[in-house]
Amino acid sequence: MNSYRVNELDKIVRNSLQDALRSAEPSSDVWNRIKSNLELENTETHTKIGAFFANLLFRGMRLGDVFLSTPGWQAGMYEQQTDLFVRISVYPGANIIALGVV
Amino acid sequence: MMPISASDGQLISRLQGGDLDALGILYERYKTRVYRTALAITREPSAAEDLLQDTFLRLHRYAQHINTALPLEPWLYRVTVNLAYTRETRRKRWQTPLDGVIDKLTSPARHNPEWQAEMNELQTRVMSAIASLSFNQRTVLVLYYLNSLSLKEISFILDCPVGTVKSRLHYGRENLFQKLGAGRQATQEMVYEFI
Repeated sequence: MNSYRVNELDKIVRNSLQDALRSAEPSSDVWNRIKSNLELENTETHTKIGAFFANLLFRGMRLGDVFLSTPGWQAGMYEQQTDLFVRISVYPGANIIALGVV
Repeated sequence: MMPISASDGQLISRLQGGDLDALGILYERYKTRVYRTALAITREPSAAEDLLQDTFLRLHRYAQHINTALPLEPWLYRVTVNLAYTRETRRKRWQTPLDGVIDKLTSPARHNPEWQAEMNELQTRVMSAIASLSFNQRTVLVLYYLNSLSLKEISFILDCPVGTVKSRLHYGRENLFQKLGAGRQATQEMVYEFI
């Protein structure tokens, strides 16, 4: 491979990456989620947990789904191909590490 | 109401005072760049949106510690990459066969009618090749190719020496080209001229 071909490849990789993402935009829902999380930070712990479960029900919580929590402040959801992970955050000292739905 | 033309530093100062409108303006200003960076690293729109969300929640949380004299964009990328790394360690990775892509990429017949249609597929395969790299190499390539950042800026974002960035970029490109179909013999002749 000569240096001309390498430079061409470099350019093609850069262009391909930029072109592939040129029209990619986040949904308008993200900002609403950010605002909701900031509002949750100003609520009491039990209200946070209530909002968390309301959110799960809204998103189609199923029997047997397992939900894990990590320390922190904001709540979010990660949906993957076969598993559903939900991260809930509570005030430090609330002593909630994992939540299971049965 | 803060004008949307306000500088990043002015908006951070307002945010430090609790002004959420300032956060909204910063979000509108950087959401696309942060999202595309996250998407290039994760290849999952939902994951990229989660990273975008968490990045701006951290901006809100740590606003008091941000130096308003420094540019905000590298800080946002730094948080995005760190969050992506945390997510990466929690899930499995997958790979896509990429044999023969290199020949298509460098084909002299790029003006043929079929070329544009093939480019869409090639973009996907280049994205797949990047996604199949290690997290460290992938991240450096995304910041270098997509965001066109300098080695110095990338070293700040990744919190590592410039030499480390240079090394990851070198081997990342070598691996990328090999995954696209070029053999090791071919990539040995590469000449790099980094920013």
